[in-house]
Amino acid sequence: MSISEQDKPIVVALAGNPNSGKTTVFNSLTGARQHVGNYPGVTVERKEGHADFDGHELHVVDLPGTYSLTPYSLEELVARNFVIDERPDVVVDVVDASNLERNLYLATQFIELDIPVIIALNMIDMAEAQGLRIDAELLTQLFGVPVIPMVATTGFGKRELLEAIVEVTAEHTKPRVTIAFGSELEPHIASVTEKLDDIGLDDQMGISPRWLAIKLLEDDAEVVKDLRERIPEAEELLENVARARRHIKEILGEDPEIAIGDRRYGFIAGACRRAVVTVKRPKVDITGLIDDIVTNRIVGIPIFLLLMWLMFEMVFTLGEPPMGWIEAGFEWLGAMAAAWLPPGELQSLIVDGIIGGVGGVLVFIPNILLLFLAIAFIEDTGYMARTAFVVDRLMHYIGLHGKSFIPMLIGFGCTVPAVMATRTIDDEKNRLTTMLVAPLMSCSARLPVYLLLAGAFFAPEIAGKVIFGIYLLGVLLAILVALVLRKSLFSGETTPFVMELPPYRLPTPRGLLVHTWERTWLYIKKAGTIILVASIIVWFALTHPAPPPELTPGDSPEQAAVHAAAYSYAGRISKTLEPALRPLGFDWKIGTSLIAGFAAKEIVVATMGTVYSLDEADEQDRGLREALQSDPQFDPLVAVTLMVFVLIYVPCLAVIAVVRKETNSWKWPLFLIGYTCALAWIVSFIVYQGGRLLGF
Amino acid sequence: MFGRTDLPPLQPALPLVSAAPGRPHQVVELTGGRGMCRHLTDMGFVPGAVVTVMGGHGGALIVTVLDSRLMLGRGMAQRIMVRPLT
Repeated sequence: MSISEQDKPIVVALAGNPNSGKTTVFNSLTGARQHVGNYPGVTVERKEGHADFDGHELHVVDLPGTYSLTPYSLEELVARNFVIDERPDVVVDVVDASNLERNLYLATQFIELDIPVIIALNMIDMAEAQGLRIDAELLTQLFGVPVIPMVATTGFGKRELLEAIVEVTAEHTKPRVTIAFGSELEPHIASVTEKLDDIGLDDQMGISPRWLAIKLLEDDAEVVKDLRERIPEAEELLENVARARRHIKEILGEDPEIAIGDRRYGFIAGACRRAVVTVKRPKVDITGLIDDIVTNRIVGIPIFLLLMWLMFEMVFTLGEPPMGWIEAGFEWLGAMAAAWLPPGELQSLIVDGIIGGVGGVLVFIPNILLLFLAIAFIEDTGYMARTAFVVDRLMHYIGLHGKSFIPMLIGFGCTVPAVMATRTIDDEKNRLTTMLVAPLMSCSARLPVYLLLAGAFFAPEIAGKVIFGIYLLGVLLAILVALVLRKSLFSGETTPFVMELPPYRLPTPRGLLVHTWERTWLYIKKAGTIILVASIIVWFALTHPAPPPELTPGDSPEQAAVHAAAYSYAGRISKTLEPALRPLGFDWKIGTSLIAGFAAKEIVVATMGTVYSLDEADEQDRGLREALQSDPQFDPLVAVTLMVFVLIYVPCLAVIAVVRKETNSWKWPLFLIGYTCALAWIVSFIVYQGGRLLGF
Repeated sequence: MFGRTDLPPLQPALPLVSAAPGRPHQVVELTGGRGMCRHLTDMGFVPGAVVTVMGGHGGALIVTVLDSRLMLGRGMAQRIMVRPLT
């Protein structure tokens, strides 16, 4: 390798089936040095990271899980496009050794593609636990590519993998084996390959013509499309391919893609018969036993509800003590700042705007952390996949299917990845419905509002249940809206689906920590950036313009503060909206917070923090909670109404942005904003007025 | 009399949804749309593959095929024709 080649980082693409441990390999290779961004033109979390090994710099890209290079869903398309278009230096196909034959299906396609590829035989510990002994050396020979046994969670095989990556890149090692498709198919493959060669496709696309030929015979839509775009002679070629396909169907009696798939599995089965030995059958199938209970027709749903309820209880009760400490810490900080800084604009900005605003949000870190921990636990154990099965029957009543439920579950953490997770739903109508309904699954950003209000107006034993009730309301409304959408705008049959249920496993503490911390850190970062900026803007809008002293002579400090706030930009805007808010029991201060909440839901709390901090005369320094309790506008019913409103109304800007990207139009984000605001108003109205009528 | 009479007759193919749980079956044919058939093949349902129904109700099934455990949505299991393995 020349010096310049050595200096260029090696681009490694991590591909593989979902649940093969790809991300664990990624984390193991890159450590904490990761970067989450976007694929160009498409919003998917592009996970890239860096690793250094033996003087080489590695640029590792974690691709979405895929079963085949002929994509079935958007996620698979993204993975496929990266490999085909961006030509990584080497592809590491992470294969689940305990699920070998199906996992190797993708590997055969990489071999057909004739690019540098390494098979990372991951989870061999699980394979051994199932009584399998795999001869990696023999597999290397049979597949013609390096096969590296690994246990990504312990780091076993990591070094060998890195060595292989460096070596394969240096030698540009391609697969030494060509998979033969049998005497009926090979002649057709050869003839199409020849035609592609004649056109000079090799230079054009830089992709193995044989792979293209096989994909054309499989009628891969992406390849056909690409061909039509690049080659004028495409139609003639495609005619030939169509003829070949008809011929294959006549001879073999099955569709070419099935015949080709069959040959791939045949090759794999042959290799595995030689390289894999079953030493003993495991005595008991734990996954099967657990599934029998958890997916049971009668107890499945109660178990699920119980787990959900436990999750929320934990988030609230365990989070309470550390939350108190952080709250005290910020109060102390505020007092210090007030003591050190001279009274005036700067002090107000720092104490009321920044500390009041951002502090109000950071206080809830313990709860957020616990919530993400619970979600990570559910994901990593494998239970999350089962929830799709458990709710499938119910989902059908609202016109969706079980697969739609997983994005909704993710929505309890954050709506943005929930919207992106709908990419796994291939039915467009289903996908749109799920996307539009997902924001009603109350996200973690709304949680601070509930914690604040429930904590202020209800006794601790009841507060947790009130919050659970809010979440439940969100779920019920989601069901209702989904029903309405399916009956009106999106009526039609749902397509059936297939979903993998990974074996249950005990999550590694490290894995849990990484998953939880990744998301919690994003929350904190958001606080330090968007919310900080928003808090400053809100503070500015609340304190400017300041009323000239002549306007309010003889006011006590408290009255002056109230008049100042009402005089400001924010105050004036909210006052004009007040007629719409009063039937809900809200005043202009709450209105200001709600408006600010359009940007991000944590800002509702941040703004309340600022508004009520400004409201206090300087000598007093109460926490936001106490400030709310002593505000005459607030009582338990108003608190509940506000929680309901915040639950439903408009998702944050980030969600609007991602819905626009995923649906490629403004129609749906605007519809989302419109219906959620309308629904929020209506339901809040019912809650408040109904509550007053009932005497609360 | 011509023809062999010592081999047992081939059992008729039935949709997976009607297969007896716990008994291994062999995939015979995939009916249904092309995209779905291809996807099923990607997941391991190829003619000859051994599939066993492990559980399920309300239309959705849990099956094992090629060492992996899959959930098949409603209607899916009607489009996969299998034959019991003797």
